[in-house]
Amino acid sequence: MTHRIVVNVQTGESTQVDLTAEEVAQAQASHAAWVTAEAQKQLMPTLEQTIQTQAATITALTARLEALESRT
Amino acid sequence: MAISTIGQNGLNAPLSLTSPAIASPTFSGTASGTVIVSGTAVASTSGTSIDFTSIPSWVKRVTVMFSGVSTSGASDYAIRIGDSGGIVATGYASASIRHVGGAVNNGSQYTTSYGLNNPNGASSVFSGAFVLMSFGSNTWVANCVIGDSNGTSAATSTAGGTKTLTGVLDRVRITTVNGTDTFDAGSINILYE
Repeated sequence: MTHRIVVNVQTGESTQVDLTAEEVAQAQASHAAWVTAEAQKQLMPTLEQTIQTQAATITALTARLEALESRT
Repeated sequence: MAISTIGQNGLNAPLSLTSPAIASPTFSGTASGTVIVSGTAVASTSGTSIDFTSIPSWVKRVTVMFSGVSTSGASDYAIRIGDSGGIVATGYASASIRHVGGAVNNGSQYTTSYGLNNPNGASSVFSGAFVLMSFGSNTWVANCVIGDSNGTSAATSTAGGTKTLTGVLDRVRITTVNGTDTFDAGSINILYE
């Protein structure tokens, strides 16, 4: 899989440590959970999307109101 | 080494030192005053995590510094702390939000780490600092403002959080939420004080 870098701040020594099988399994589990969470996020509108939707609604209602006013 | 400040009249007198040179000082016990120690910068160009270990027990603030740091994927960054029992990946209360192109975008909450929103995924290039501060009783609160200088989409991320360890903090890990993205650019260092 891959490794981590470990820096001892008191000695300045930097070492590269291979991940253990357990750590690899944990990373894979984290990745699976992250994929699920990201899929959930895609189902939720972003703030920008919500603002755009609300702005479109306001524009449509304003147009209807102006149309009604022009008929009276 | 003890330095006396007793003057000729027996009263404390101002101490004047001219260009003192102290080679590689070490600190033990409880430090007082202002002592800021820089760690050793490490290239964040490989691996899925970077640990800074052997942080002294007297430390009250740890600043994790990012300089042009990038990862291979879209996962948010995760900063974890630990004690003599190891790095802890549970019990955090943290949130982060991104600001991209002048808009505030949706943020996220994190319980397995302090989180740091990754505004532009693999193209993000982070420079800035993530600051951990001792709140007392092994509780560490954090805040962060960091810039993404990837050159195509101006962005910043802000973050905050808290975590209580069972022991004294002695290590910090920088990784990603998904645990599998790898670092591919920049360097990371810490200051502790």
